[in-house]
Amino acid sequence: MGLGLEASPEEIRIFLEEAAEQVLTLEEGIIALEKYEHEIDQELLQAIFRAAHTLKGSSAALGHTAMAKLTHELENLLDQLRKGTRDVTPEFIELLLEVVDVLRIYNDEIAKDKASDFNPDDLIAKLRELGQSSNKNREETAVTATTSKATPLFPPKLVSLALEQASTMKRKVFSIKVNLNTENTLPSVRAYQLLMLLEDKGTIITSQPTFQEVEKDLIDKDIKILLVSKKPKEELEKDIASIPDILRIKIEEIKDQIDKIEEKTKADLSSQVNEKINIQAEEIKNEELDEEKNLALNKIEKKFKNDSMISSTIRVDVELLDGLMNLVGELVIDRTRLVSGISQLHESEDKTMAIENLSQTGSHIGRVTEQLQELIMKARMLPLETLFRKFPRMIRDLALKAGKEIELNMEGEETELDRSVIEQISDPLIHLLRNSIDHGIEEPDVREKMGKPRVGRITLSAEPEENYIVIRLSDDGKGIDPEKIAATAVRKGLLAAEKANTLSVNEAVELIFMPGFSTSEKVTQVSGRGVGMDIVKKNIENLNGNIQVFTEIDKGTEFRIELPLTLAIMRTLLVKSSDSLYAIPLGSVAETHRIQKATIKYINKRKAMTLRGKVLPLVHLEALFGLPIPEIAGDSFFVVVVRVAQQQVGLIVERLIGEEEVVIKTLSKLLGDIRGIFGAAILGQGDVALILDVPSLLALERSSNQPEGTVL
Amino acid sequence: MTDKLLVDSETIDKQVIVFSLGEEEFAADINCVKEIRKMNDQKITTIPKTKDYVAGVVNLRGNIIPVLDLRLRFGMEKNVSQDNRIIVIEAENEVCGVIVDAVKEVLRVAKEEIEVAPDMVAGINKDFLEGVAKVQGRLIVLLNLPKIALANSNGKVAS
Repeated sequence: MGLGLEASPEEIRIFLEEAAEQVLTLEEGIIALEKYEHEIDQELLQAIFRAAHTLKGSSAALGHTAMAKLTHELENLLDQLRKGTRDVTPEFIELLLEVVDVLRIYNDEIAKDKASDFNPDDLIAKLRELGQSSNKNREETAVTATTSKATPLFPPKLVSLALEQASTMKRKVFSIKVNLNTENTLPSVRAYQLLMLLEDKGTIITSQPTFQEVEKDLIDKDIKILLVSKKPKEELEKDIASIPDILRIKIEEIKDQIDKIEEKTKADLSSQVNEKINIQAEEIKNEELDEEKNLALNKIEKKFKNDSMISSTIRVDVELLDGLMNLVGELVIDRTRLVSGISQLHESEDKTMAIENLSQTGSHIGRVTEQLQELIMKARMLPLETLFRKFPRMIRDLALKAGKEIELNMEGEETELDRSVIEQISDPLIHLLRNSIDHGIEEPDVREKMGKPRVGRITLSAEPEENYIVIRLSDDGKGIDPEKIAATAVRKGLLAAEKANTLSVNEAVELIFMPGFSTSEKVTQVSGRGVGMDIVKKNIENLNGNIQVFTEIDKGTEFRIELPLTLAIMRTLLVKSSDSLYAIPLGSVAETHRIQKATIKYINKRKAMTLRGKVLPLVHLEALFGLPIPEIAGDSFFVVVVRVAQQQVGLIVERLIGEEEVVIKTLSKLLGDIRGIFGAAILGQGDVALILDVPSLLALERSSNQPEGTVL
Repeated sequence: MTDKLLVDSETIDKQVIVFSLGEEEFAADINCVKEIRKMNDQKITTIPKTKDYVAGVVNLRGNIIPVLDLRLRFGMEKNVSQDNRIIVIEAENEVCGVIVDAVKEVLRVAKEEIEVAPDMVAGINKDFLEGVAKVQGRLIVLLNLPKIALANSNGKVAS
């Protein structure tokens, strides 16, 4: 079901981009709020309030009533905070964060133009309840509906709500009735003017018609407004009168009668709140049960994984755009020079001049295209901040649920990476962060006993190093025990017991990246899991990057991820086999050899050779693709040793051509399901080479053979 | 005012590109065709592990586009000749080449000349047919080439 918003796709796009930004500001602000214990930073508060206010305005303008309503309540609460009539409590923060989540749901609704099944009533009720209760240093002044007998214009409930708000903010409640001259051509404009004016003077609790109705021209000659304001009645009257086409104005101040009975209600209420807190505390305790906790953590992790932070549009510096324009201009000139050079070549007797001109143009084109490429790559860069900024909230939620205290430090968020790399590194990073919280950082009590600070520390940093961006993720938790890892691998049948003893510490720790290692039976039962470190490693290798782990027991663990600056260009080893060209990403190539035919051994009818004392399985590239295997001509042949995780395989190819930097072109989806191929590249002569996807290629190898021959 | 200038698409003649596969004549709406190339000029790079009718990819002015063999797609024998052409079409923003035996002409077909296709024509799925045109005693099967190309799509949106 569509939302039926009356906005153009362009307006919606702009709204979404801004809204995403505002929601993030809100979220960051709320998390920061949580950290303040006494004095709240007014500037921060202003920023949060502004974000809520903007969201309210823009969602109302877009016609998303539910979102406008929710942000209105949010704004009210934040306003109380701003005015110092409210304390920051954990429940308060929790509720605000819940609102943030719902706002994301709404953004999603708008993006997809599809109503979600979320019902905001509970949340809005909760916000209202909070808005009315537990205000500090103030008499509880709830007013019963019966006291508002003088105001038949509005539902008594609303009036009492308004009164409560007003009293907490030292404001008055006005019932305003305005008679509009509907003979005039633009009554809705006047009504809008009126509402805008009053919104400026205070808070409109309700109005008839509402802003939305006014926008749709659904107005009456009577306008009724319930306003909370600190302005005197006379001033309001004067201001309203300044709007043209108004026939009659009637403003009444609604006064409340503080009921002594309310004291009792207040007591009831606070005991209710206490009870609630107790129940929550108990719930948290119950969640110590591993299964449940895991589920909750999974939910959080999943939420952040699904939440795409990167918009599909990109902001480009005008200067950069001008640069591109200039280069394109140069190319246009070159085209003209080419044409004239060619005709000169045809016509003139002395060809040397023409050839000289043409070769000059050629080298100029070469330079210009190189610059073009560089600039366009630059335009695709995004700061890692776009990804990093969602982590503080995630860490907070995960730590809370896991019962741990964690501080997240981030450095180098300004480091830029190609947007496609940023998109694809998100899930692996989330997984690693989750692991740090789950398995790395100890419980606060445990840490204290060990002499560590109660609060665990996770550091996420990024910096460029040569041709790579290096992301480091470290924690000061308990580290990884190589012996335990090796034992687990043996238990799971991933490693022969006798081999376990021969492993170096590093090799043992690296076992966590083995397929099947981190997917324990218990976890796989939980939906959405079963993803392990092997997938993390695979994702990073798919990006042509690589991951290493450094760990020390009781000191902590560091993951070091190297990512290429750009995805679109890849260094490859070009090979030829059966008349086809293949480019193998250099990241996957361990070494190359020229091997004598006689050295091939057969193990279980499979080809293999010994390399430095180890058995290396050999396989024809054609065999992996199910193509006919060519005869090896001559006495020797070439082997490219490729590696993925712990596995090494020798690919037999016809000829090695050499290293080449290629621009990656993705293959069309119209080709259907493709395995073992990452993309294609156009070489100098216009030939097309297929870029091998080594991890999936080796998966093909495993599936085409018997489980025999897992090689470590 | 401008409304009157627009011609109702239901009544206008259709321009089609007529091509042959074996003895039969087929046609595709000219609006989906971007260009026609000689197959001999193109070096087709085969992609392993794809359906047999996926001929491979070609380098079309710096873009790598997939090429489907329409003969194999319709279960006919492969045929290689000098006349082979690649019709380059666009299907939902994806560009794709389709190999046919030969391209004959561009025809204007009046709406009245197009009849609803019978359930099966030469063993081709009805979904791919747009009708049969009877023009000067010839029977020309109108194909929806973009649909044929998309039917092989793996669902992923290539960037």
